[in-house]
Amino acid sequence: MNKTKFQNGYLIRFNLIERIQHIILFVALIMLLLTGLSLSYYDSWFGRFMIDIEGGLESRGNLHYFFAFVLMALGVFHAFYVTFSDKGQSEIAHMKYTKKDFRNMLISFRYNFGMGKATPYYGRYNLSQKFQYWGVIFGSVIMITTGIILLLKVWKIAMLFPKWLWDITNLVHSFEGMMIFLVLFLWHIYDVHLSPGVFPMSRVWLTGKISEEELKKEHPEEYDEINKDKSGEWKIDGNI
Amino acid sequence: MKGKFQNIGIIFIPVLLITGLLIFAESYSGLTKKGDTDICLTCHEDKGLTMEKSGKKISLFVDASHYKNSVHQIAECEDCHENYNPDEIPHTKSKQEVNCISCHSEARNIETNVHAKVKCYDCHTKHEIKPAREFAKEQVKACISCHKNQTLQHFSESVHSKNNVNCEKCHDGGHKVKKISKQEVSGLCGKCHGDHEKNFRNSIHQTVMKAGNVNAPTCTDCHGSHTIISGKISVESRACLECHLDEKKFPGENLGSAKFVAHYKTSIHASVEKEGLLEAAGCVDCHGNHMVQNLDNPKASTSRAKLIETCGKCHKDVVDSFKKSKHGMELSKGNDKAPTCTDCHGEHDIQSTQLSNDFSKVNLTEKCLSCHKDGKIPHKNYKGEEELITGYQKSVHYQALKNGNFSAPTCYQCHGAHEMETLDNPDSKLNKNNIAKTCGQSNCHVNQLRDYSGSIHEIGVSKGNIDAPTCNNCHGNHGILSKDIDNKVQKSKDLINLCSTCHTSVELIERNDLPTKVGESYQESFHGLATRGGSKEAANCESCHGNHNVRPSNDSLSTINRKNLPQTCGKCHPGATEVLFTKKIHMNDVENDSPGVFWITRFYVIMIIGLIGFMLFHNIMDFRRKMKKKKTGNNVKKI
Repeated sequence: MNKTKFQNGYLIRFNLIERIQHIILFVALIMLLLTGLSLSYYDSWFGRFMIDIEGGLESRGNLHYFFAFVLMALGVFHAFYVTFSDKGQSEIAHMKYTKKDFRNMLISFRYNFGMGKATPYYGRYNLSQKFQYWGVIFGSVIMITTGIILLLKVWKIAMLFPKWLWDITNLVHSFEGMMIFLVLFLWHIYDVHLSPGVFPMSRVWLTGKISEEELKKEHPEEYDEINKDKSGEWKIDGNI
Repeated sequence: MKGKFQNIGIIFIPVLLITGLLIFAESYSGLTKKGDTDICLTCHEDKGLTMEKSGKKISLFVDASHYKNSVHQIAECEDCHENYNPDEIPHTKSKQEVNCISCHSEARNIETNVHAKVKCYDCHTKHEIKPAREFAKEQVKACISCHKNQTLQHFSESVHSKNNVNCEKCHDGGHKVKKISKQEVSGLCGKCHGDHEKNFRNSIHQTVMKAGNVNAPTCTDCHGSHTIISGKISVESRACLECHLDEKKFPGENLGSAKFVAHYKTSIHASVEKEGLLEAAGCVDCHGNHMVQNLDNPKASTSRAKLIETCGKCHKDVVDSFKKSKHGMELSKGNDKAPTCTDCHGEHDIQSTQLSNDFSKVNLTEKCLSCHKDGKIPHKNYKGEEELITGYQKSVHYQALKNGNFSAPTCYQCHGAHEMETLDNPDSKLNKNNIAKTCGQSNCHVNQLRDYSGSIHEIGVSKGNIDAPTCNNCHGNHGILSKDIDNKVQKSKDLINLCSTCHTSVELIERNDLPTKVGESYQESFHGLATRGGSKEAANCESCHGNHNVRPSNDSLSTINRKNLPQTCGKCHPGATEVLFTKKIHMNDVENDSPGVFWITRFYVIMIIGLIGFMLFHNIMDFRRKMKKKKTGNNVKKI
């Protein structure tokens, strides 16, 4: 598979390109959310405050468009990255849902409820990470699609479409945005900030490094695969 | 035959004898009298007969024919010219004046009255003395032969002269002639002009005269005395003003002073009179003529109680409508505060509303407000509200007026001037049913009225629906502001708020079966969002529905009729097609109007609740477990 090896007890989990992609992604998403929600809740104190910060309503719109463009560009780059680069291809392969994921989910529930001592045997990405990744992909596609349609309206070339289309796109755009905010951010922030063991923050996104210990604990399957490469043997930790 | 003639002769001869005897006797007796007239005339018939007296030549000629035609024809010269000796020439010895009174004792009064120094012959002539009846006919001539006063010379042209009212009718005839004192004049005139005298007797003029005011006028002071002609029986204002403009007689500046009266000259009444229009009111037209009274006398034509009728003599239509008005009704009830004509129009200085003067539209406003501001007159809807004054004075109407646009309305254009009514009166110009007509009166908002007519709002008003709006419900009452305020965003917001006051009111919506959720759905729409966000271009209510011509969508004239929608929307969105409007614009029933929207909303709500619920559940469990594990010491080393 890949040739990643531990160096001084650490593994390079994400390369620089990936880390930069992540930074661009979360900056763009945060900005899009702030500028978007401030419009949705224009009449509330939050909206007024945000729009003030964003330099008025027009400036808010321009910011939103700018980060939407950043997000779209990132999306295109990411599509190329996962299609053509070796690392990308390998990563997207790990993102695919498999039967193991379902099994891991059951184990995870059972473990969390205290009904069993077996911990899930996660691979490179655990269930919630996969869910979050696909959530971002799926959400972005919807947001970008509806966003482009709404942009047509701003550009006043919208008169060819019936009004219900505007109603629907408007609705989807705002609900989807809300959903991305609630699901992705809250969940992801729990995972990388609040979750015991990583609090106050997991630094993987900055350094790209993950310790052998942590990898072993959080992503046992991957750890075992690396060790197998090294020793030529399977080391199975925990029950399946 | 012979016998017959004899008989006639026997009768005829004595008759002739007696006749001849009588004639002789007659002529003899004449000849025997002293101072025989014929003897006198033998000399005095000579036209050249003169005498000299203190250097003047005096004619002694006596026209015999005059004498013989006179009433004195049977009298001899010596009957009057006593003690003249015909033989003594000239008859100088005993000169004695002719004494008419000795015979005409009824004329004795003449010796003591104003004519004491006047000789009988000054009036009756010397020898041409006429019978009394004849003399009376020419009496006037006799009088004015001495009374050469200019006014008397024209007496013959006077209406009195023409109606045979001669000197003696007033000055007493014959020999009792007298001067007439001021106090007597009215009584004298009253002999004929009884009604007028009666009126005059009660007038302020007569009252002050009795109180001893020497300036008080009597008949002749206004009408003149001898020169009254029929054309001038009606007294001109000049006669009144002669006294009433005299500041010495009427000092001060208050009511009744000369200065106060002088304002009349600036009035429309006076200026029209100058132009020669007969309708113009002079003093007497308002104050009455003979019965002129002080204002505080309730009988006075200019008293508050009677003023309406006085003005109504000329301004009939106006006064008729005033009587029916609130002001008029209150006045007739005896309300002291209710205004009468002069309270608004002024007294002497009555002006036209057309001019830039005290009664111009701008100043008129002050007049109305002098009572109607600060709640002095309790107003049903605006108890003590300042809005009455401040509102109007800030309004576009008043500003236009002040800037010289005289067609801009002031109070009366809307409320009616004389026909002013309270709003609840169906005749009031500002009754709900009439407001639109009033605002849309000619020269005012004609176009707006045309648009408004037939609109759903107008139909509601005409059906008597009190919820339906008419002009003032949207535009306000007194404080109507200009539409072209610079702040377009604010204007848009204001407009939306305005429409929302009714169209988001649950009570009004239910009562009138109005479409629901129009306000909400607008606010959530792109248009509403943009407006709230301060867009200058975003459509507000008016952009689509029109303003005055708001009509329901099933009306083919409506701007939101399906056929007209592409055009209406096309104002902002060129190329808008009917495809755009396959669904309702304001979705008040989302499930039926747009199932897509309905189900997507439902889907997302469920999704969000489900996912968040799951996430929270998952994370809480995860957290719990990890904390437990942490306590047991299996901590992960941080990097």
